[in-house]
Amino acid sequence: MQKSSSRRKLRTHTPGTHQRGGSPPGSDAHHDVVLPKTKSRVLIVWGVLIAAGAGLAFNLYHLQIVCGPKLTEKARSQQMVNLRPFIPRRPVVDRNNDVLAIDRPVYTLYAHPKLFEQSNEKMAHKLASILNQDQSELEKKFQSKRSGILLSPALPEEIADRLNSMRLNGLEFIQKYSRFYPEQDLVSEVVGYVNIDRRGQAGVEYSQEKLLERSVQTVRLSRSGNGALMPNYAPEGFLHFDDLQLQLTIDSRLQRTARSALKQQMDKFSAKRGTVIVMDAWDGSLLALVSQPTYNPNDYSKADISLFKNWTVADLYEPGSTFKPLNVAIALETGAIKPEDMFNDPGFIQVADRTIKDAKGERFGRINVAQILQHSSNVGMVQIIQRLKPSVYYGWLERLGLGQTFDTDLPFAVSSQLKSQEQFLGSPVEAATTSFGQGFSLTPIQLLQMIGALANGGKLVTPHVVRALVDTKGQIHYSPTRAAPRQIFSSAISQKVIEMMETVVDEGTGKASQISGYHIAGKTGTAQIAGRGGYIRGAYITSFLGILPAESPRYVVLALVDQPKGKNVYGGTVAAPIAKSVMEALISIEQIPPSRPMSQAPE
Amino acid sequence: MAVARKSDISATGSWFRTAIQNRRNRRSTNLQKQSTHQKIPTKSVPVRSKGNVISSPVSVTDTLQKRKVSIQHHQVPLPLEKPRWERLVSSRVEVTSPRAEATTELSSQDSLPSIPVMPNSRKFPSWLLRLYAIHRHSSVAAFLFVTVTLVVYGWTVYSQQLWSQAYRKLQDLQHHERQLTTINGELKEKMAQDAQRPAAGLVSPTPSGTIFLPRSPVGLNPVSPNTTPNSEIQQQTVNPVGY
Repeated sequence: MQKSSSRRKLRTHTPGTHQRGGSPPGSDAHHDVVLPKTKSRVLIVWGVLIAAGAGLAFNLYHLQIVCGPKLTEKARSQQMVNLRPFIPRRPVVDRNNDVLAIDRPVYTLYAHPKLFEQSNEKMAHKLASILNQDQSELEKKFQSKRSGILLSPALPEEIADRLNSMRLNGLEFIQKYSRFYPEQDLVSEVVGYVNIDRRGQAGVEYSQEKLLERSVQTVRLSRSGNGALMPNYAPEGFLHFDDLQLQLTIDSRLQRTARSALKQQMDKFSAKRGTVIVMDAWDGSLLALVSQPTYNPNDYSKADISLFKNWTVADLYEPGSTFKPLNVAIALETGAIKPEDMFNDPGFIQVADRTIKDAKGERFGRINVAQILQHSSNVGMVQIIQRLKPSVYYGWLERLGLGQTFDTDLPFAVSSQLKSQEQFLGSPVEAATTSFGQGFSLTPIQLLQMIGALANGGKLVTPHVVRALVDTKGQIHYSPTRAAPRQIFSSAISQKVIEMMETVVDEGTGKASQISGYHIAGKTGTAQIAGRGGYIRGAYITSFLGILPAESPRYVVLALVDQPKGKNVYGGTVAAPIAKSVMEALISIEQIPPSRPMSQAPE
Repeated sequence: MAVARKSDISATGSWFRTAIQNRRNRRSTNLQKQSTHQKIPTKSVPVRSKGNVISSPVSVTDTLQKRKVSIQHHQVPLPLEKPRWERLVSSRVEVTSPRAEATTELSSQDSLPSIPVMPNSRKFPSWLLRLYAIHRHSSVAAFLFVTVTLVVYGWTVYSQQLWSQAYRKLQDLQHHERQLTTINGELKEKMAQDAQRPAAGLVSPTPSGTIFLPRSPVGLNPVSPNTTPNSEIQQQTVNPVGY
C-alpha cells in the first residue's frame, strides 16, 4: 500500500516533468520538493498501520489472556448442555420374554396462555381432542391463569410427539420417566411397582433394585449453533449401555389362567382372598404366583396399601391337612411306620385333656397310611405321630425349616412360627395337633417349598422368581447364586408319599382335580383360622396341593382360598377345581405327555 | 533466481517480466541511494551522448522513462561491465522511443541469441542455488501441508456433524424401539383380555384337546407310551417329544 500510494503520487507528477522539456536539472529540483512530503505521508500511513496493528495485538492480548478464562467459561456455558440421556431401568420380562415392566419417557405438560399465538378457544379446540379433555374446561383453565397451567402430569410419548409436531407456542413439555406395566395387574404381586421417585416399592422391583437400576450419569456435551450435539467432551462409553433385562421364571400364560380360575372360584364362594402358586420343584423356580385381590401397578396410588405386600410370602397361616404328607414322610423316614401299616380310626382320639376328631365327624375304622391321607383322617395322623418321640419329631420339624427364616427373592418374606421346644415337648397335645397341620404357622410359599421336597426326591429348594439377567439375544449374563438344596428325605420315601398322595386324587378327597390321562398326586386341606384366643368359628382356609406328573413328579401347584363362604366349603370343593384348571394349562404349556390312556382315566 | 530461469526458458514472457522486475528493484534502490544529490549517474552518460531521440532517457527522476529504457535492456543484468552495456544501448538507440514498446520487444526477442546470458549464472554461488532449491521444495511441501491440514481440519468438523446426525438417528431408533415394545405388550394384554371374554368363543387349551404323538419306537422293544412301565415314562417326561 505504501508503495502504490507513492507510486501514484509520482505518476501524477510525471506528465508535468515530461512536458516541461525534460531537462535533468529541472526534474531534480522537483524531486527535492516532493520526496520529503512522500516520506512524511509514508510515515503517517506506516504509523497508522502500525498503530492499528498494535491496537489489534493489544485487543488480542486482552481477549486471549486477560479475559480469556472468563470468556471461555461463558462460551462453554452457552455451548455445553447438561444432558441426562435416557438410561432406563432395566425391563422385566417373563420366561417367554414377554415384557412385564418397561421404562418409558412421559411428559408433564404445562400451558402458558400468555405465549399462545392463537386465541384461547382455538388452542383449547386443538388440544381437547388430543388430550382427551373437555374443550370448555380447557378454555376456562386458559383464562384463569397467564402461565404455568398443568394440563397433564404424565403424557405418553406418542401424544407428546403429536403435540410437538403441531408446533404450537406456549406449551411446555418436561420429560420424566415412568415405569409401565403392559400386563397391568397380571403379575403385580411378583413384579411390584416403582414409585414416583423411581424406587421399587414392592415385589421384584423392590428386592432386585440392584439388578434393575442402571446408573444414570449426567453428561456434558457441547452443542453447535443449530442445536445439534457434538461428540467432543462426550465421556468414554457414553452411548454404550447394556441391553440386559431381568428375566423372571414366571410364565404369564399360566399366570393368566391361574388368575382367572382363582377369580372365578373366589367369586363363586365370595372368598376373602386366594392364591395360586406353581413351582418347578426341580429347581424351585415359580411359574406362577397369583394372589387375589391385587392391584394395577400402573395406578398404584389408587390401590389398597395392604395389597402391596405379597401375602403368599408375608402372611402366616396354619396349613392344616396339606401338611399331613410331610408328617407321613417324617414318620416313614424315621422308620416309625411302614407304608403298609394299619391304623384304627374310631372317629376320635383322646390326647391328654383334649379330644381330637375327624373333620366331618366320620369314622374310618381300620385304614392304612395311604387311606389316612385319602380321607384326611386326623385321628390316624395323631396315631402315626404318637409313634415318634416328640423330641425327634420336633427335630424333624426344625429340619424342614419351621421356625426359621425363609429364603426367597421376593421381598418381605417372614419366618414361620413353631412353638419353642419346651412348649412343644411340654404337652402331648402339641405334637398331636401338629400332626394334622395346626398349632404352627407358615407362609403358603414355604409350604410349597416343603411339598417340593417330596416332588424332587427329598431336597429343599429355594423358591424364586428371578431367573437371570439376560441380554436381548437371550444370553445369560448374571444369575443369582442360591443356597444349595438341602436333602431332607430320601428319594424312595418321597416317591412313596407321592404314590400315596396319588390315591388321594384317584380315590380320596381330591377327586375334583383329576385330569384324564394323567397321574396327579394331591392333598386337600381345610384348616381352621387361628384368631385371638382360639380358632375362629366357621372361618376356614381351603387349600389343595397338586403334584404332577405323579410318576415323575416335577410341578407342585398350591391353590389356597381364604374364608370361602357357603355350604360344603372344603379344599376338595373350593381349591381343587382351581388347581385342576391350572394343571391343565400347565400340561399344555409345558407339553407334558399323558402317562395313562385317556379312556381308562377314572372319572 | 532469474538467472536459473533464463537458462531454461529463453525469451518467454515470464522470463521477461522477472528480469524487468529484478532490475527495477535493484535499480531503484541504487538510484535512490545515489541520485538524489548526484544529478546523473555516470552510466547514463553514454546513452545521452548517443541518444538523439530521447531527451533524457536515463534521468533519475523520470522513473517512467527509466522503466521504459530498462524494458529495452531486458536481457542485461545490472552488474554488466561498461563496454557491453554501452554496446547494447547504442545498438538499440533508434528504437528506444517511449511509444514504440511493442517493436522494442520484438526486436529484443529477435536479438536474443546474440546476447550471452548463460555466463552470468556462474556468478551465483552454489549455496544460493541450493538455498533456492530448498526454498522451492519447502514451498511445495508447505503447500501440501497446508492442504492436508485443511482437509484434516475439515474432516474433524464434518465428522462431528456426522456424529451428531448419527446420534439423533440413534435416539430416534431407541424411541421407536421403546414404542414398539410398549405397544406390543399392550396389544398382547388386550388380545388376552379379549380372548378371556366368554363372547370371544375361545377356550384355553386342555390336555383332552391336545394330540400327543407317541415316541417313535427305538431299538428292539418298540413300546407305545400307553403301556410303558413307570421308569420309562419318567425318562419320557424329562424330554417330552412334543404334541
